[in-house]
Amino acid sequence: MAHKKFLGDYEFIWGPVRKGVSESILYEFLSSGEELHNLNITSGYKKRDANNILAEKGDLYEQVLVAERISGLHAFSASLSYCLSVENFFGFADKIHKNLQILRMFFAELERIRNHIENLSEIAESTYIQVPSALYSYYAEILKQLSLKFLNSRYLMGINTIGGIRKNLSLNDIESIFNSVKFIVNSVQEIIKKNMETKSHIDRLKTTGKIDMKMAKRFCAKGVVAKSSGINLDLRILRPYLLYGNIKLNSIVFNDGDAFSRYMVRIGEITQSLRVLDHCLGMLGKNGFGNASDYFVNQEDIDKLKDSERENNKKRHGFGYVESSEGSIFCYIKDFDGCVFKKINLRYPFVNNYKLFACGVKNTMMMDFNINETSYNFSVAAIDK
Amino acid sequence: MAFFWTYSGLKFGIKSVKFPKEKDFYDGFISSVSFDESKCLNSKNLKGSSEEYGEIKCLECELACPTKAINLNNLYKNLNSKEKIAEKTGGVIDANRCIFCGVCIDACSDIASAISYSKDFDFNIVSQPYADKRKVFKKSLFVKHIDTGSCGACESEINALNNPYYNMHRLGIFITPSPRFADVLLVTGTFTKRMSDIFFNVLDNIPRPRHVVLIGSCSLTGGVFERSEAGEDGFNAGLLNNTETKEGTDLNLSPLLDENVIALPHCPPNPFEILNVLLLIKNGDFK
Ligand code: SF4
Ligand code: SF4
Repeated sequence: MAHKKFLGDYEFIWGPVRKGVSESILYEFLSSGEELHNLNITSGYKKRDANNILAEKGDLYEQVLVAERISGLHAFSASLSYCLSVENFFGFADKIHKNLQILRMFFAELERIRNHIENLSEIAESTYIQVPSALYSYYAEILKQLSLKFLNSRYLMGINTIGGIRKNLSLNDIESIFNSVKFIVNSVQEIIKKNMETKSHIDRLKTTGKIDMKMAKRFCAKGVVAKSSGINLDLRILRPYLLYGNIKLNSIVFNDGDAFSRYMVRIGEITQSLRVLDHCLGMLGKNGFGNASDYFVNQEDIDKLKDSERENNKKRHGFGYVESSEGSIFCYIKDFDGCVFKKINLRYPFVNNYKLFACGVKNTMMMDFNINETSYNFSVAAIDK
Repeated sequence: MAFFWTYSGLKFGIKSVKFPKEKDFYDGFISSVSFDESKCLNSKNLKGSSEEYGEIKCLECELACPTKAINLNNLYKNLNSKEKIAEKTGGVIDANRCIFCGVCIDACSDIASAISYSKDFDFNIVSQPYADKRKVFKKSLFVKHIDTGSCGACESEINALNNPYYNMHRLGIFITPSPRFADVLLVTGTFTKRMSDIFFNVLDNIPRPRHVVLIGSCSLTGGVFERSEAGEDGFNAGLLNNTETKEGTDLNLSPLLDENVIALPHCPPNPFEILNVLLLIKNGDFK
């Protein structure tokens, strides 16, 4: 360990099996008791060898199912990133009906809202305010129930497929999802408003886990962490995919780089995502949307594409990206063997953020560690693919 | 402000379900994928001929299932026998493998609509033969969790039990950080090589009588992460170490032979299903 050990410092390890119900990762601390002087993070305990497993699958849809289960909380974004890259590979992206693209945006924003509300609940718990934490988690639960009711999955799994989505929904269904989400977001905003007046909560978030823009840039911070330190990396704005280019999105950026800024970014994004949902619903109405199944792509068309340009399969590659709730998920695919892609690289935003976190945590207070870690909203599964 | 939150909490009221007293599931709740034998073309085909039983005519769902959870041979023990074995094997759909993707439902929808998500209460979880003595946990049940390679969704569902909707504390069930105080070990994930020693270490520290609940298809068979050819070292394939037989999946709990093991399938299992298993353990209701 290349770090300075102060007299009186002691080392202790935490993990890989940690408190409550959490993912396996090992933290090794060096601390004087109050102050944290060094943190070593070791991941890899739960590596499932997803890249090779993906390559072993028998068809493209099986690859979608694995892609969404690398990190279950980002299932929709990851499967979308994979599907976009496959559609890019086959030069198929333009042929997907606008309405299906709108639906994909709709569900991606739904996932973002859910993940952010869940994080608000965890943040409230880390500052020991139990009532708001319980209220947030209640609304996150209602969102999951809504997903199950309309989409048969609480985590938005099994929705994306090559060429669009699999679930058949009517405009009425989308409308009722929207109305329920609107009610949930409004209720959450009420809690947020009151929480802002809870001094013990806000004070503990302010200045905690502060990183500056220079450091964030050095570690190539992603997503909420980047946005909280003044860097706008939102791919929906910088390089719009699907139909994000048709919506005016604001960059939600804060400059303090502390847990409070990360909290504010999430709050801003919840409101913005509701606006996107509203916009999606409006666009569907204008486009005369009937049922999603009216726009489904014919499987035979996809099969034809698989057979086309076979001789070039080795040379071609596909690329897709999605701005998930925690940042960009990139997908690069190549080596199509006629059935599946033999090389798939899904890149989640957490690797860089973990490095930044380990560095930024030095010389912070031990008692703030939990708040700081929670504000990053890591997924260990996404690193240990 | 502290007062304000207490007041808000009271004003919000009790939002918990009454489960298990009442089966008050939310609108849209599903708990299994059900197979209606009477609609399946193969059943009709088999029943139709009196002497020679025809061959399986339609294989669409079996071929479509990404986790090989469907075995149409289970409709009848073999094609020349009338003996139905669906009940014995747990049916045509092997619940331990099913990830709820619904691909089979789509595949059959234009053919016979024999498969559907079941909205009925179907929590028929049976334990593997009990290896250890059973206990009724009169007051409370303490649960320890270990992640051996999950995607995070199973954890999220276990955590959901703490939210005011399920509120498992009202039933005397608590998560504990220490294995020494635990009665139950909840296992999620595919069982990676690096987690195996740690898993047994945690397990050894839990006093007997104890229960091991395998949560999610990952921890049973590896789920979608199951290798097409079993890994040489046997890791990453769940803890049931399934060996496929003609009639389905033979469960061989080699590393957990002398443990009380309960397998809870689905990907991820619904919080109601997890709560149901914990309650069955607490009340000593597993046969
Ligand atoms: S729902 Fe999916 S995993 Fe389950 S039996 Fe059907 S196809 Fe197989
Ligand atoms: S069983 Fe499914 S939900 Fe649970 S950890 Fe595995 S992939 Fe994730």
